[in-house]
This record gives sequence, C-alpha cells and structure tokens, in this order.
Amino acid sequence: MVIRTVSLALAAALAAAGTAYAQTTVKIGVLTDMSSLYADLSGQGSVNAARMAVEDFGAERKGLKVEIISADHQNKPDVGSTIARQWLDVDKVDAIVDVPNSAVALAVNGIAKEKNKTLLISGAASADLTGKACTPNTVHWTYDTWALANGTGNAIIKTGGDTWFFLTADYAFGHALERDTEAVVLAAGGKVLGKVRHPLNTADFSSFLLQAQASKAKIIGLANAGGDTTNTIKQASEFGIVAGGQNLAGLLVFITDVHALGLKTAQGLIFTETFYWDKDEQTRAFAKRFAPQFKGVHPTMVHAGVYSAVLHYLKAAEALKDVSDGSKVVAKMKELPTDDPLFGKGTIRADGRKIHPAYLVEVKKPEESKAPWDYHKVRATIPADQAFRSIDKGECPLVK
Amino acid sequence: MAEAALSRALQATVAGDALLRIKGLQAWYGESHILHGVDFDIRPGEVMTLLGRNGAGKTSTLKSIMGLIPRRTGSISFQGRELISLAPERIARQGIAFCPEERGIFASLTVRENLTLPPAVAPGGLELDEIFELFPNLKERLSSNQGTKLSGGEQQMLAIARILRTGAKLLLLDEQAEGLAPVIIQQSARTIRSLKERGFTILLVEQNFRFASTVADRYYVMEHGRIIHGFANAELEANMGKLHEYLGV
Amino acid sequence: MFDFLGIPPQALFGQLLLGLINGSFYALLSLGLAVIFGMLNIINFTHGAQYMMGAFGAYFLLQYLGIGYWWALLIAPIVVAITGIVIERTMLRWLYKLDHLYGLLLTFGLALVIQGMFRHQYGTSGIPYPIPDALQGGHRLTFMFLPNYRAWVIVFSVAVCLATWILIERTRLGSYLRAATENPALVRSFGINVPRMITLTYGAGVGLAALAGVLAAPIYQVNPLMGADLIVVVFAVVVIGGMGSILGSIITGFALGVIEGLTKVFYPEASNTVIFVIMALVLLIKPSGLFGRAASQTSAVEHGGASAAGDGGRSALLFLGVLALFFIISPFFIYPLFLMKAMCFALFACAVNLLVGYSGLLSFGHAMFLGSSAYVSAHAAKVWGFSPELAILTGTGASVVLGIITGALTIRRQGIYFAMTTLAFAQMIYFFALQAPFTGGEDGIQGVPRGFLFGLFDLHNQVTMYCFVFAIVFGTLLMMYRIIHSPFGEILKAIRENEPRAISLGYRTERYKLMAFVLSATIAGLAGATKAIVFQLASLTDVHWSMSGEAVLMTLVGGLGTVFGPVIGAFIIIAMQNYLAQFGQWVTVIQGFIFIVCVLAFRRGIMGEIANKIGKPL
Repeated sequence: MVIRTVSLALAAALAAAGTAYAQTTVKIGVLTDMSSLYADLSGQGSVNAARMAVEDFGAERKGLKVEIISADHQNKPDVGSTIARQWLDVDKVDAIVDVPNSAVALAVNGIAKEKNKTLLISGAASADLTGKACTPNTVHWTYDTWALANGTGNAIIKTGGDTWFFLTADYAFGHALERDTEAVVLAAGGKVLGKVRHPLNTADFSSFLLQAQASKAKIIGLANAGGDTTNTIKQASEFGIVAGGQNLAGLLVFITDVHALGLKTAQGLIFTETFYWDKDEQTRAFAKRFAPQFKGVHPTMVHAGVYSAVLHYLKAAEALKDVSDGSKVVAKMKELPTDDPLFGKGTIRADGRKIHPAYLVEVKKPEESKAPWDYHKVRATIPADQAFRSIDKGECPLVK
Repeated sequence: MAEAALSRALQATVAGDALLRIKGLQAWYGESHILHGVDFDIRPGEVMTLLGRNGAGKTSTLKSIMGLIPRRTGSISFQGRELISLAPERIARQGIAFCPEERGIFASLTVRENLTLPPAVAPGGLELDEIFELFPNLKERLSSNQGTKLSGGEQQMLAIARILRTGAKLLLLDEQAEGLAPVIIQQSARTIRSLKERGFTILLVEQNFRFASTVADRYYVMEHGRIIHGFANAELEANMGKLHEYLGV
Repeated sequence: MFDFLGIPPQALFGQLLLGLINGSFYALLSLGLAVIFGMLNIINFTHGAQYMMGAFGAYFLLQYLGIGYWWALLIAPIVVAITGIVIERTMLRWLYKLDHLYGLLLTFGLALVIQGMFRHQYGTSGIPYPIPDALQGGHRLTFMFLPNYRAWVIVFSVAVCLATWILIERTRLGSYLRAATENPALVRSFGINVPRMITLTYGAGVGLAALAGVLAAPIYQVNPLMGADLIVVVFAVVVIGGMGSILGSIITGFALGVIEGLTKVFYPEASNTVIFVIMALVLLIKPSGLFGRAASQTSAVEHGGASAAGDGGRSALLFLGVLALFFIISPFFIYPLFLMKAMCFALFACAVNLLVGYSGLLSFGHAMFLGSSAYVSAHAAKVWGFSPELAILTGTGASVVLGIITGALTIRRQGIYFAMTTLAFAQMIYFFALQAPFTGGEDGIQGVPRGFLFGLFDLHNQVTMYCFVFAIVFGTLLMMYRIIHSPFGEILKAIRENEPRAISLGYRTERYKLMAFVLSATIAGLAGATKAIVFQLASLTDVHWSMSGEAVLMTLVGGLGTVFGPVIGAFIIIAMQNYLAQFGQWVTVIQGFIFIVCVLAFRRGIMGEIANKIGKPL
C-alpha cells in the first residue's frame, strides 16, 4: 500500500518534472536587404533587433528554444521567394520577419499562406498587405503607405500647407504614395497644383525641382524613397527651395536618410514615423543597446518593428506551445493585446494590421541638436485609432 | 658547301670591324619557328642587303634586331652592346631605326607630326632643312593635316625622313621598292646612296635585287630562316645564276 | 512670348541651361572612358567605381584630414589614378592581346569588388558632403535661380574637356598617344616607351573619372552605388560619340544633357531611357558612332573546346549524360527548387554561350529575352488561364519575335558595338517593363498558377514539376548539341574564326548569324518562360542588365565555347547566391572576384580546362 502510494507519487513527480523540461522550439528567419537600398534602415540591424527581442523575452527560462537565422533578398522578388520557400520547406523556419520592399513582401506573403507559416512584416510599405492581399498568416507591423500619407498629408494641411506639387518616383510604389496623399489633401480641402514623375534611381532632380518651383505650390510632396529622396532633398537645398518659401514633405523618410543628408540640408523636413528612439526612457535604453551593434546607427522604426513583432510572436508561442500552424499563431497574436517598450500598448486587427500611434516629426536645425542622432522633434501625435486606414475600407477578404 | 665556305670567308674579313654582329639568331611567332639560326655581320658605313623569297625570314630578321619579335634567342650585338633581350624602345635608343615595309604613316597625325614624331636618340641627326634638301616634295606637303593623304611615294619619303632626324646610325629599311613607280624607286636609290655618303649604315631587305644592286655593298641570301649564301657587290655577275635559283625569278 | 508645346519660354530656358550643366558633367565623366578606350582599347567598366572613389576621396580628405574641396580636386584624382595604375600593371596588361571581352569582364569584376567593399563599410544611404563655402548660394536669373555651384560645374567641365582635347590633339605628347593607338609596335621602335605611356594613360583616364566624382560629391549624395547605374549611361555616351573619339564624347555628353533635359520637361518618365533610344538609332545609321573610327579587329577569344581539333565531341555527350544523372539523383539530397532554378539558368547561360562561344557575338542584352518571355508566360498562365505548357510556348514565342526584330537590327554590328546595341534594346525593354501595366511594375506578376500540365498532371506536385523542367532543359540541351555538330554549326564556327573567308566561300554570313541569334533568343526565352512557372513569379530582375552580366559570368566560369560548360557555371553561381545569401553583401564581391580570377587565370572555364586535359573538344 505504501509502496503503491510512493510509486504513484514518484511517477507523478517525474511526470511533472518531465513537462517542466519539455521545450518548444521556434525558428525565426529574418529576411531583409543587406546589400542594397534598404540595408541601413533594415538590414543587419533588423537581425540584431530580433536577437535583442529574444534576449529580452527571456526565452530560455520560459521553456522556449529560439533560433534566429537571416538572409539577404537583395531587393529581388525571385531571390526572396526562393529563400522563403527553402526556409519553410526544408529549413523548418516557423516565422519570417521584416521583408523590406513591397514586391518581395507580396511574394513571400503568398508563400507563407501556402505553407501555413507566419509572416511578420516590418520593412515593407504596401497597404495592400492588409487590404487586397491580406491573409490569416501575415501581420503588417510598423507602418504602411496609407498611414504615412494620412499622417503627413493631414498634419501638413492643418499647418496651412494647402497647395501641393508632387515629385513622384515612376513606379507602382511611388504612384501609390502619391495617390494616397493626394486623396488626403483633396479631402482636407487642399489643392494639387501639379505633378511630375521621375524615373526610379534618378541622380539629378534639378529639372524637376525647377518645375516644382515654378508651380509656386506651398508644399512639394516627395513620393519617392531611398536615394531618390535624399538626392531630391539635397538638391532642393542647393536650389534654395526652402529659402524661397516652399516646404518639402517627405512621404517615406527614415532617420537613416536624415543622417545621410546631415541636419544642415535636411532641416525643416516634415514626415511621419511610428517610432522615434528619443521619445522616452525605454526607447532611449533600447537605442543605447542597439547602436553599438550596428556601427552606431540608431534604430529606425523598421528595426523597432522587428523587435516588437518578434517579442509578441514569442508571447503567442509561449501560450500555444506549438508554432507549426502559422494561422493559429497569428490568431493568437490578434487575440493577445501587444505591449512592448518601443510601441507601448496596442492591438492587431483582424486584417493583420498592427495598430499603434504615429508621430509627425520635423527635422531639427543644426543648432537645435544636442547630440549625434538627435534629429527629430515631435510636432504632433496621431492617435492609434486614426493613424491607420479603417478596416472596412481595405477590401480585405478576411473582414468581409 | 662551297657557299658556306664562301660566306664564312666573307664573315672572317669583316669580323674585326662589325657595327652589328648577329650570331645564332632564332625567333618564333607563337608556335611557329621562323628563324633557325641567322649569322652575319655589318660593317660601319656599308649598305648590306638581305635577299630572299617571300617568307624566307628577311623581315623577321629586321624585326628581331629591333626587338619587335618577343621570342628570340641568340646574340645580336651592336657596337659591343648585347641587344637580344632588350625592349624595342631601348634598342632604338642605342641608335638603330626601322622603316617598315608598310611604311606605317599614322592617319591620326598630321604630316608635320608624323615627321617629327620619333625623338632624338643620339646627336647628329639630320636637321629639317637637310631633310627637305633630300626630299623637296615633303616640304610642300608639310601642311597637310593627315599623314595618309599623301601618295604612296610621298609616304615612303616621309617614313625614311622621320627616322633620319633621330640621330640613329644604323637604318633597317624593309622593301623600299615595293609597289612604287620606277621613277620613285630610282629616287629611293639615290636617297640611299646619299645617306651612305653621310655615314649611315644601312641594312636593306629586298626582293627586287635589281634595285638592290644599285645601292648594295654586300648581299646575303636567306631561305627558310637561314643565311644560305653571301657575296660582295663585285661578285654580283658571277652569282646571277644562283640568285635566279634562290629567288625564283 | 509664345509657349513652346505648353511650356513658357522662361521655363524652357531654365531647363535648357540645366541640361547643358548636366551635359558638361556627362562630358567630363565620359572623357576618361573615351581616353582609355581610344588609346588602350580597354572597355573600362570600373569607371563608375572609380568615379565613386573620387567622391569618397573628397569625403575622406575632408573628414579625416580636414582638407577641403579645392585641394580635393587635385589630390583625390591623383590618389585614385595611382590605384588605377596598380590595376593596369598587375591585371590589365595581361589582356591586351585578347578580345575586348576580357578587359570588359575583368573591369566589371573589379567594379563589383570595389563597390561591394565600400558598401560593406559605408552602407547605402549615402554620406553628406557640403558645397564649398565660396560656391554657396546662387544668382537669380530672369528665368531661374542658378546655384553658383552649378555654374562652376559647367565652367570647370568645359575647361577640363578643352584642356584634354588640346593635350591629345595639339601637343607632342598627344601625338605620341595617337600614334601609339594606331601602331604601338612601330612607336616603340622609335624609342618611345609605349607600355609606360599606356599605364600613365590609364591612370589619367581613371583620374578624370575621379575628378568627376569630386565634382559630383557636393550635389549628389556620396554613395557606394553612385557609379553603378551611371556607368551604363556613360558607356552609351562614348559609344554614340564614337569609341576612340575624344571630341565625340565631349559633344555627345553635352548633347545628351540637353536632350535629357528636354525629355524631363515633356516626357519625364522616359528621361532615363532616351539615351538608349538615341544610341540604338545612331548605331543603326552609323555603326561606329558619330565621330568614331572603325572598330579594330577582335583577336582570339579563348575557347574551351570548340577550337580544339577533331569533330564528333562524343565526350561532350558523355558529360551531358553525367550532368543528367546528377540532376536525376540530386533532388533526393538537395532542395529541388534550387535545382530547378539551376537548370533554368543553365539553359539561359547555354543560350548566351551559343552566341558568344560559337558566333563570337557577345550580347549584353539577353536579359530582355529571359524577362519578356517570363512576363508573357506568367501573364498567359495567370490572366488568360493557359495550361503551363501552352503558357511556356507563348512566352517562348514572344522571345522568338523579339529575337527576330532585335537580331535584324543588330546583327550587322561587331564586337563592342554589337554588345552596346543589344544593351540599348534591353534597356528599352526594361523601361517598357517598368511602365507597362500588365507587367506589374516593380511588383512583377505574382501568384502565377502552376496549373495542370496537358490538363492532366498537377504541377504543384514537386516531383511532376521537377520532371517537367528536367525534360525541357535536357531536351533543349540535347537539341543544342545536335545543332552545334550539324553543318549549320560548322558554318557558324567558320564564320567566327574568319568571317571574310566565309563570305568569300559564298556563305551569307548575315543570315547565319541572324539564325544563331534567334536560336539563342529562343532558348533564353524558353528558360525564362519555364522559370516563371516554376517560381510563379516574373519580375523586373529578369530584364535588368545585370542579369545579362550574370549569364556571361556563368558561361565564363563553365567554359566559353564548350557545349555544356555553362551548365556547370550556372550551377556554381546559383549555388553561391543561394548558400551565401546569409552573407548578403559578400555575394556580389565574391562574384566580382570570380570574374577577375576567371579572366586572368582561368579563361577556359571548368569544362574548358577539362577538355584541355583530356585533349578532346567539349
């Protein structure tokens, strides 16, 4: 009788001990651009951010074994999709993270759905990812074209910038930015005085800037990105655009672009972002850890988004204990409210859109900056419920 | 056998005074072996002619002396200096000049530029007015802005004229009589004789031995990359038969 | 005053002036390239990277040594020129006797390495460099605000162009250079040290590129990739002006600036592409460019096996068998998708090889066939609902048509002019692909269904898909082998070895070359169409000129002129891209190194070396 009780107790104890040591393995792949346009605003920094999230989550003691791998998609959809397929088919990756460049993101979006794994997008901008192309496997973090257009467009109109001239990169992304911003401007009662489309990767904008100057529009909207944007801004300064009374509105600008331009050239530039490293104590602490690992570069909102997404993903993984079914994990992520030191409290909507506030920032004048990377001052905060396109306007099939 | 003996005898008489001495010269163009051991000497101030059929190796000999055939072995000694492994520009600076068969007038240079192109390699080169004395036609054509607008004969003159300014003492002249009107050929001969009077040493390569006979002091005959026969100008008549045989004319 | 086509004259003058300023910049930039090609017959693809080094040089001088812009104008070009001299002494001098192609590939590889290393160190966002104080601000002209720096650009560029022209056309040193270009051996025989002159000339050309870089630093962001896309435009300028003509490059540079400026006003979307349209037009009417001299004869391109004595090439068939066996067994060990990618690219590389190795024509535009058939095939499968084999057929058909059109227009050209004409057309196709709605722009055509083969076999099944791709690829390779060893193939070889002789024998060489071109285009198209179905995606990468460059690299590595060498080359390059993806940026640097090594030491490529060892043609 005693022996039976003892052996039962022993068995129970062993069983309990066994479960305490059972581990969920999670493999995360950071698919990013390490060699091309977006290498600075995402790139290796995104990989580092993911690692920091794993550390901060305390994966070990929570019974999660997390592995992070990474790859460079070189901004090419076919390279990106091959890597994604290989990761999901062969390498047992459970979640793909970041994916800057909307074309690549859209391709990987389809693959993640096909293989029923998870995709957490931080770098890509296309609002279609939570619109026509939404899937139960994808969460779109950080920002999208609608949020940028809305934030920047509305905020600028409110400050009196009611006549616009668009300088647009002539490809789908540029057109989308222009279209979304134009809609906001017109809806708020502003006027669009002209547009010019320039080829992608133009070096010299003098001709287009001349046309913008001639239009006498108060605001010149830059519906372009990367090197095109920085070149436009640099040359605008040369041609005395701002001195002549017109202002530049960057529709997709990152702190790394401001750094590349220098404050003297970039001062006064207005744009929207969803994360700024100098916002509060917690973001500053993050930046302090992040920068030394990435050549001193301070985190952009894309890096912050990767951190936040991985953190929340691990929370869902901890709750579910099994991440092999991507749509289930994403469903869990939508169920749990988000809370992290970088974006604060937020939620993920049914269409996969992560909701958090956005900030309208202005680039400081050189004399206003007290330290390296002290570049932005926050002009306005756009509350979370207004920052993103409302869920019924997106045509997402999940929401119908 | 007799020829070999004759040529050896010939060489012996000039050995002491040689300006240029070539021993066992072999040369290759890529894989093909074109010179199989050339031996001869040139005395200072003489006009020496290399005769032979097409492909015998005459031009290749000139080019080897000038260093324009990269793969060559043997010995080429000029004024006691060994040239066999020198680069062409170094060889030129020793005082040797080359006038190629195709003349090599530069289309992208004016006539004046063509004429003044080769730099001085030694003192004692002809002055411009001395050159115009030798080649009065050139003076008239000096203003032409493209070297190749000149006639064949004028280009010929230009090709020789330019190397006369350099101060080189040994002139390597390749096929001066080819494809030119008889009048011009005669003038060429006069020029060569005139140069000889001024103390130049000339190694002439010719197929046309009648032309050569009006200027040469000695002759060597080449075949298959070797010297097979040699004789002095005085022995020309005596060697006519052999020449016909070797040259196939 | 009247409006010109809706543009007020004020605005027009402003744009014209800007166009002239840009033109002066183009002229300066292409000057160095023209000098190097004109004098050395080297196609210096590193020019863009050297331009970038000049800009970085200015930045370093300011950042680390506190040396400002004016001194940088002098020092940076000299330093970069020295690096150029080192390159010439150590690498380029070995290539002078060979076909232009090798110089181009070597310098292309160098460009990849240099750009990659700078990118690793400095990222891609760019670095600011200020306009020097003395040139800040500008003047209000009646029709525009002219920044002082821009005025300086045009003055300085004109001065340098003029000085260079005078140096080359009117001085003694210039006469040495011009003569040495025509007949280097003869010039050496006059006692002029031509090799040293060549080295210094290369250095000078490089220095000019760097000078343009310093000039650019204050207006364009200093960025490791700043020369990468510019190089193609600069080439176009030099080709239009006439390779070898200094004056031609200068005039074309200015003309291009103005034309581009006007395009930016009337049809801005096309402003990047107008140069290629002009290049295509000029080359069609005047093949050696506006002021050019006829291209010099190309000499021996080292061929792996094709020139080896003997016929049959049974050993080649044997190797094909080995390769087929490999691709049959390997899907059990290696990820099949990667293998399918390798097979498609193997076909693409073989298509390029057919042209380069067998007809002696280097095409820099083959991406246009790969890409356009990929788009058509993807569209057919997705939008028109064709079954996969019909979609592939349709896509390939598009390539045939494109091949016939471009072939008819380009086949008359030789050597570098041929390469540039194909590039011009490829750029136009790229522009079209970027703009046309059906291609989906930079998103490409996504979600292409794999469908049911012949309506029966589900291609979503990996095994079925793999067998299908295998059948297509190896079937085509076998057919290629048959063609190469047919009378048609022999005639092609004869044309490549000695075209005038072939003509004198009565062959209409133009026809044969066109047939070879169209065949090559078809195979490239087949590769592209198949790839679109396998990856369910067609994108701009497929039509970008770097894709053409990759195909050449694969051919080189595998063995130029061997029948199946490019298959190995493709496999190696794709494997490298795949398995080194985690090292990201290093992939392009490594590719650059491979280009360099192959050109200097390994020209026969893998198959070629094997063919050499066993003494049989492959």
